[in-house]
Amino acid sequence: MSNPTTILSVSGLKKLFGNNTAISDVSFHLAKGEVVSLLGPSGCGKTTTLRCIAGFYSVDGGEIKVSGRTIASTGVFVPPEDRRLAMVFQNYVLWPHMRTFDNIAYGLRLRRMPKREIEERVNEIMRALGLSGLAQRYPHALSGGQQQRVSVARSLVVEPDILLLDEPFSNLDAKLRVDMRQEMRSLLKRLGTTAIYVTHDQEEAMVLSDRIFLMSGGKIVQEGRPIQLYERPATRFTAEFFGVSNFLPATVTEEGLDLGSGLRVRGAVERGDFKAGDKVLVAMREDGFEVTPGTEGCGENAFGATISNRLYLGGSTQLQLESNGVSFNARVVGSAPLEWPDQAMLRLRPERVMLVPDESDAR
Amino acid sequence: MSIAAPHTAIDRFAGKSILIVTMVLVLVAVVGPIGMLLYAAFRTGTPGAPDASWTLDNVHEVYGTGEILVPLWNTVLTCGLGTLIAVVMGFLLAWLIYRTDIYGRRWLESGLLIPIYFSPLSLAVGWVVLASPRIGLLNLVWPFSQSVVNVYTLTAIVLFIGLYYTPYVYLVAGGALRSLDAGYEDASAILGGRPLQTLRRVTLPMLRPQLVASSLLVFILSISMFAEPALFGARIDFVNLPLAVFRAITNVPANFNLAATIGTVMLFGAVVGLLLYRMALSSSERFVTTQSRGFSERRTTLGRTRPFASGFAIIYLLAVVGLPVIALIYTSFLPYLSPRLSFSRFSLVNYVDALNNPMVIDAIRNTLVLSVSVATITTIFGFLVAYIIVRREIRGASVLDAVSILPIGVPAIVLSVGFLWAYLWAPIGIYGTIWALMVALSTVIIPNTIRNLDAAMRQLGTDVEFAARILGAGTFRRILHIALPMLRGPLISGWLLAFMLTTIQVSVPIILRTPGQEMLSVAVWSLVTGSGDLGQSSVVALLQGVVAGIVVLLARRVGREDRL
Repeated sequence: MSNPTTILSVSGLKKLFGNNTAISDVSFHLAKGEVVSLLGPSGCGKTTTLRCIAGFYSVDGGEIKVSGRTIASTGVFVPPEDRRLAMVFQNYVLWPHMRTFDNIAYGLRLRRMPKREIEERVNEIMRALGLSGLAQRYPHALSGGQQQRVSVARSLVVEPDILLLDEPFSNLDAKLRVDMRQEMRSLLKRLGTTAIYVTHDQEEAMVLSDRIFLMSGGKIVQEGRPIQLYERPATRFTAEFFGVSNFLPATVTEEGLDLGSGLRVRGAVERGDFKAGDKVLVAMREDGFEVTPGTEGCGENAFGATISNRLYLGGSTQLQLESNGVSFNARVVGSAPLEWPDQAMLRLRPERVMLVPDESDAR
Repeated sequence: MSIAAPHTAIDRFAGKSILIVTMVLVLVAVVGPIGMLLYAAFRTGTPGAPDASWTLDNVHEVYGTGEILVPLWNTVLTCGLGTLIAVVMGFLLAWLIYRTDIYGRRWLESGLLIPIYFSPLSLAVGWVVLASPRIGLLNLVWPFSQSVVNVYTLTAIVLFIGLYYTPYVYLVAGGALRSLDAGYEDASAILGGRPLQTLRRVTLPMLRPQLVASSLLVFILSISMFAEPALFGARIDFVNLPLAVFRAITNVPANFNLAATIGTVMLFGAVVGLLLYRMALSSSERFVTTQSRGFSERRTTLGRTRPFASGFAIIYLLAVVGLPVIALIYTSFLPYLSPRLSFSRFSLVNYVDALNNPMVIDAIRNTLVLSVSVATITTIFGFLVAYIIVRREIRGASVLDAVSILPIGVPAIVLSVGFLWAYLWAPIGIYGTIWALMVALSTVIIPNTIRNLDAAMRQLGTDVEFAARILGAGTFRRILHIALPMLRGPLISGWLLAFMLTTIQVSVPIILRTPGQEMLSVAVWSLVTGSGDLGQSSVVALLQGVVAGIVVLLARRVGREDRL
């Protein structure tokens, strides 16, 4: 468990607010240089977990260790100022009374570093983040993106054991956000920084992280590489969080799947641990279907369907279809489907089928 | 491996020590005199007197004989009616400024706060000049033989309390209206609600917590008002509770124990009022509405009544500040009051007299020294107390939160009697020195600075300090590097407020006065009630305003110069 490169280990972490359990039994380990995300909807406990690691909350159970040193557990509380971490806040919280240079230099000054060295390090990090020339500006004279970079620089310049980032891009506009997360990833990798992101944006988490911890209801519900969570969701929650909108009750058969009402799927379905006869949910993304107008068949696994609703989204058209009493959400590139007749053929691609346990059945 | 910030333990220790020392000092300064007051109520003599013993006589005299009923009734009557006037006026003015298209809105918005910066005693002296029967200036201007206004009446006392405290209500109501989305009122209007119906059915019910809180605040503040009611009530034998305390101390022979016991009546009333006030405030948080992005600022069109609304606000300011100040200036140039208006006898004799009066010269010096030092002390400690209350880094923060605000409710005159006792009892000879006044005034003034800085610090949020903390800053460095510089603005305005409030304080310097330790407010009081020399007292009252004005201007300049 604690292999030599483990820098952070969180085990059985628990935090209560009054009688409400904010997080319970959160455990994960980070290797040095790893960049991970705590991902989940609001209220899932991701920020609470981060603030426990930072030391802004005490913990009610479990343990947090950094490089083998216990910094928090029941009865142990190392104050944040002694944890050798750094944090980028959602709203940056640059100190308005300090210039850019002084904001960034603050942590180094606390460490009593010689003036020359402070100057060198601050200038270096400002260059790396494209902030050169802004040293004498006050925060209010910086753009949102620049403020964000200063806040990152302020945290990175002290070379923290672990960098914590609390939704650092949520206050930027969409275009800047996309640019920043790519830039951030390459910067962290170049510096070899260990970092934990908190975010509710699955796309951001996938771009940024080596591993994702998906949280819900104060627990980690699935962890893995981004591609694992996207393509092999373990539960309906994970699949839904990563954008799946079709969940069809089905039974696993020898040849494929039985969706009931006479709809069958044959072919190479990735079954995982399920075996023939199991009740499952078929999770399909909207682009996992092929839709063609008219009643002419388009091969195997195709059903006749009626289009009940069309929504033009810009680059694509979203269709709602009914076939033998089962509804499907599909998406077709372009706007052509707006002109189609109501009758269409719907083909389900077996290689795009994901199976998750049918939790309603388990109950 | 990264480096840790050194000395964080020392840093934390230093920071927490400062906070703990602050907490102890403030608790002692507030609880001490209140404790002494209760102690005094059960003693036969002053502390240290060889024959003093325990007794229930004072308690019996105050609570058992019914003698207290008249002052009690007078206090409740004048303060109750005064509060009613202040609340109605304050809400009306706030509504006119923040919800209608009244003329001169920008000027009136801050202009209506002007009375807060004037000494109520000076304004009261101004009104004595204006509205004395027969010789009052207004009665002289009045073309008929009968007097039209008379300042020596119960009505005058009630009106003065009501109008003087109107800006306090206006401040609370205005703040609430500013943060209340007019969309709620728009929603009523679109359903057919006329402005007055909307006001009654939507606006006022939503402001109920502020209504209750500001009523209690004015009531609490006004029960400690004693110099002004005493001035107006001199000819009708008006006695309220603070005046009864004052008389018990200044009568010969003085009965300090009786004064303390009467003080306890006010103390209990104040504590009840304060508890209700806090309840009202905490319930106001429930009314806080989610801030929507499209914040409506629609205003009611006054139409033909528009000039009248502005006229109303201007007449209010004239009555409270304008006319009394003009009257003070006029009288200051008259060698003696005459039953006819006249500018021909104008002279500087009052000014010469005043500046040759050693008491006045002492008073100028004392007022400056005390106001500057008390403002500085209360700003420093007020900041630290607010830090303790908001950040809660040391134990006992909630106790301090409750206790430190007490002096706003406990009438200053009651606290002063407690301080008098504490000083008489204290082994070190502090009584009769300027330090005695400094400590007592600081204790009375500090809740105001705490309230200011408390609000500012909450607005600052915790993340700015977290950001420093995670980089290695302990308590002391966080206070020094982050909290202090970020609160510059509120610290300066808090200092100015404390300064102003100290210059106009009457109760504390009157009770704790010893020869040579008078402040200008006491000098005004002595001149008016002693020799009845309105000319010289006008000069001193004006002097008080000038001294305060100069310091405020200087402080503003200093504050602005090195602003970011």
